[in-house]
Parts: sequence; C-alpha cells; structure tokens
Amino acid sequence: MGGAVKGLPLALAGLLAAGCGSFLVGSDPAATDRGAVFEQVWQDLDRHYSFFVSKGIDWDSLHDVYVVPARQAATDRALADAIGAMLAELRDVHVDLFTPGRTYRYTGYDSLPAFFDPQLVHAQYVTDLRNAPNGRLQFGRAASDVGYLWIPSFGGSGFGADLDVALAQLAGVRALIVDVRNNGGGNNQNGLEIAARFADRSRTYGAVRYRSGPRHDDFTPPLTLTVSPGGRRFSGPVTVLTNRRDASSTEDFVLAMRVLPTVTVVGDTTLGAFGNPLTRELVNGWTYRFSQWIEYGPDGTSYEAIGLAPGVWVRGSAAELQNGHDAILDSALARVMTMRFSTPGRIRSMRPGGPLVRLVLPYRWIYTGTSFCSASVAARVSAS
Amino acid sequence: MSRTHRTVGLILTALLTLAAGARGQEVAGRGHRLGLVTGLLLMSEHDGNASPLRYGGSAPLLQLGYVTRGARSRLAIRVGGARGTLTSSLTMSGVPSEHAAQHWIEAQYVRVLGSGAGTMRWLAGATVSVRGSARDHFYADPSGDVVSFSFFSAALDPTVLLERAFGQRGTMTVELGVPLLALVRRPYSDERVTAAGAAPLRVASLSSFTGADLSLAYARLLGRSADLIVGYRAIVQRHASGATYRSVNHALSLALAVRLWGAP
Repeated sequence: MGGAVKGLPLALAGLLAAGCGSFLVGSDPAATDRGAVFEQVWQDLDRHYSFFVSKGIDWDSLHDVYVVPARQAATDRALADAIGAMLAELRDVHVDLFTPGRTYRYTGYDSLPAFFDPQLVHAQYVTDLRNAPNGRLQFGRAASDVGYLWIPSFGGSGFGADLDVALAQLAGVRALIVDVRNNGGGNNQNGLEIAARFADRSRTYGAVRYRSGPRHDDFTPPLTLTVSPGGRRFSGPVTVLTNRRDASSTEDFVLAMRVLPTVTVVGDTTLGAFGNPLTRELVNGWTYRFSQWIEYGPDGTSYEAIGLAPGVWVRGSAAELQNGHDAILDSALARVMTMRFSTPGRIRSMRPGGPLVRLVLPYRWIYTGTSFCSASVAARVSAS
Repeated sequence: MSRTHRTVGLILTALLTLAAGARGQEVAGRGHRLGLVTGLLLMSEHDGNASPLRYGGSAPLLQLGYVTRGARSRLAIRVGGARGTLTSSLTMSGVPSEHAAQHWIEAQYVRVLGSGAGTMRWLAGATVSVRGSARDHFYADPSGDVVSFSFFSAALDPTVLLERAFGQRGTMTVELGVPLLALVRRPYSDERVTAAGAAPLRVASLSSFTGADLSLAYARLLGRSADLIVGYRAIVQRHASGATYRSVNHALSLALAVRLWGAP
C-alpha cells in the first residue's frame, strides 16, 4: 500500500507534465481542410439561423450549389468567395463573413434612400448642439422649447446616463425630437435605456423567438419584450425620426417607442432587419455571424424584410436636401408646433391668433396621430 | 504543451518526490483551521459554442478555506476565484481571446473508513460544489464583437481521500471526486433566456455531464498553530448538450492555514 501511495502522486504529476490539459480538452482541428470550413458554416446556420422558413430559403439546395466551389477552392480567397456568395443568398444584413482584408455582407439594401444629412440638421435646425458626457448622443434645441436628440448608433454603453444629462440641460422644453435616422443599430439594451425615459409604465412592445432545434421551424416560445420606466422621465410629447437606413437595435427601439402614448414616429419606413446576430469563429480564424431569432411586434407580426412604417410618412428627396431642407424634420417640427397650439395655457406665449377650437379641445383629441395610434397598440398589448 | 504547463509539471514532480520520500508519522491533528490559498490556475477550455479552437491561459487564484476536523470526520468549506486571459493558436494582437473568470464555492464532508489508526487512512464522503466560468470572447472581426459565454454547474461529488503522515510534521492527502448529480446552466442562443428571464438551470444526466476533481496536498506544520500547504488540483468537466464544452483546470497552490482553536 505504501508503495502505491508513493507512486500515485508521481504518476499524477507526470500526467500533468505530459500536458493532459491539451489531451483532455482536445486539439484544434486542421485549418487546411477547406471543405470542412465550408461545412461548419453551413451546418451552423442550418442549426441556428432563424429566417429560412419566413424567407422561403431552401438551404439544402444552396449547400449543393456552393459546396462544389468550396471544396475545389484552390485558395482561401476562393473559399471565402464561395461561402460569401452562399450567405448573400439569405438577403440579411445580419449575415456577414469576416476574412482578413475583406468582409462579405449583403449589399442589397445599400441603395435605399436616406435623404438625411446630419450636418444640415446641425447647421440649420439645431442650436446649442452639445455632446452628452459618454458621447452616445448629441442634443440641442430645434426651437425655444423643443429639444432635439441625435442618436447615430446604439453601440457602446452609457446611453441612459447621457440622456439623463441631456434632459437635465434641456429643462423647460415642452417637446422632444429624437432623431435616429441612419442609425444601423448596436445593442437593444441601449435603445431600451433611452425608451425607459419616456415610459409611463411597463408596457409589452413585442416578443422574440430563438431557433431552438434542428428543424428550420423549431423555435422557443415567444419571449416577451417589455419597456419599463427608468431614469429621468420626460413626459412631454416625443417625435421619433426614422428612415430606410434604420436597422436592428434601432428598429427594436422604434418598436418600444411606438407603444408609448406620448410618442409619434415621423419619417420613412425602417429597413426591416431585426435578427439578433450570433457571432461564430472558424478554425482558420475567420468569423461570421447570422440571425438567431425572429422579433415580433406587440400584435405578433414580424417586420423582417418589411420594416416599421411610421405614424406619419415622409421620405424627403435629394433635391430638398440640396436646397437646405430636411423634409422629415420639417414635418416633425410642423407637428410639434401644431401640438403646442393645442396645449392649454401655451397658446398665448406661442402663436397668438391660432385657431380657437384648438384652445378648447383637449390635447389628446387633436393630436390624434400619436394618441390614437399608440392607444390602439396599447390595447392590442393588453389583449395579448 | 505550453512552457508554463511544463514548468509547473516539473516543479510539482520535484515537490511530490521530496514529500514521498519522507518518513511516516500520524496524520494531522484535530481542530479548526482557516486557510488562505494563493496560486496559479492553468485553464484550458473548448466551448463549441464559442469556437472550434481550444483556448488556454493562466490566472492567479485566491481561495479562502475553513476546515474543522474531529477524530473521525472532516468538514471543509472553500470559496475562491481566478481571473485571466485565454488565447488560442490563432491569437494575434490580442484577438481572438477570452477574458475568463472562475468562481467556486465548495462544501465537503468526509468520514474516516475503518479504524483510522496508523500513518495512513482512508476517508469517504461527499462534496457539493458550485462552479461558474464566465468568459467574454473577443472575436477578430473588424466590428470587434464581444460575446459572453458561461458555464455554471452545481454538483454533488462522492469523494474519496487518502491521507498519510510523513515525518514528524508532514501530511499528504490525495483526493478524488466524481460528479454524480449536477445542475448545469449554459446560456447560449436559445438557452440564453426564457420567458421567466434567466437562462434555465437544467438537471444534467450522467452521460451529458462528466468530470473529475483530483487534488494532492502536502501540509507541513509550522510551529504549533499553522500549516504550510503545497497543493495541486485538477478539475475536468465535460458537458455535451448541443456543442460540447470541455475544460481542464490545473491549480498549483501554496496555502497558509492557521489553527483557530482546538487541539494542534
């Protein structure tokens, strides 16, 4: 027994010295097998990608089409071309292949109109424009009592804190314009931090379902999305500006804002790309990503490849931009001005001589664009 | 095999060889001890959800332990953690890499088998361990994606210990535990969230979750109220549910245990 006791520690130490960590965890697969690299991408998407059914994509057929050039690829570039071409068939901005020196992504939406020039807005529409402390948004005044926020991205962190500072410094404004045009997204949580400042109570604004099994229609049950009050609250009317370049987390943000009774969306339809991307790594060091869920509005509708229509549709044009006019912002400001007429107690200081009827009617009756639309959404939420 | 692994292996071999050559004596005495453990944790992980590549690296570890032992039983409670950076064979300029943190809480109760007399004795019992491994994976893509992965397990391990006294003041312990029951949380994709909010904690079958926990320790009495303990520990975990998760953690540690009260 004593000999065994002496021998065991030595054997164990030898096991360590022999590098049992590598042995037990496993070694890296060979990076030179281009066919295997292709198969990893194809199988990953086959198991996790969320839009095969809704987009009517025959993934098996695409395998048959692209596996041949992938296996016969003489260079890594040729392999990347084959995989990139296969991924482009998904028509999804959340599907990318990153290789050294080149990114393969779907470009079909690149020509969508934007008609938004931040420099024009900042030069001609907004005064006292400032950066928030974390740099996540800029804010100023579009009129003496109309605040303006520009959120160019939802990437990074510190959005809620930035908005709290902006709201503190915009004290006294009666209405707010939140400009998210050309915002390609980032992190959904950041959008929710912004929306929380405008929420009066917790409201369901949608749901997501993840791919959850080998069949292309295997999904989790709906997971409810909720926007709840948080931070410094702004209770006045809010106008969100959108256009065709709004995607991903920005669309999630717009979905959340649309259920709030003080919010109106003005502008163009958003892009229609809600798929939360899953990032993966290949054995040769390339990375790729693809959508793993389907997001739904509060009524259970998926707006993927459709986009969110605004409450007030305005697209604008290149000619208007060249003439120094931002049609979407013009429309939003016009509505805000109209809204101020309807606000009791404000008419004398704003525009003497406005229509008397708007003095008499409650605000909510006149400003139907926001109130009635939001109310109908809220009703659907309650019903669901 | 990394240079660090090789160095640690050689040091450990030398220490254990010295310890094994010592002359026998009665095993360590009773009492209550509080121990502070420092050391190096060598982590090696492969999480198929994160990458087809193996990631490894080292991290300093810190553990606080309390042990109370009587004539025929021992109760040990340990709380510890380590934090470090893991790299792969493709890591260049810091990516891809993983910032990893591990934490653990363990409670172990063992009793002496047989008479327990002499210089060597067997003990058996159980260990309840809660372990968490959280990793932020920094991908090498231009957008700098960072994705969080984690593996959480709460396991019940039947445990066997072999203790032997060496010399007037030395004791060596060899310990082995294998998980029998386990709850596992491994959030990823559709497993990340549920309608209830958090990722699900699932009962792991014996076939889906396997592992082993092996440790060696050589304790040397310093004066009348403290022990200096040189230890080695290897924890292997494997979870096969969808993509496989495998991890091997080696720890080489040095501990100072102070007797709080009770017989030396």
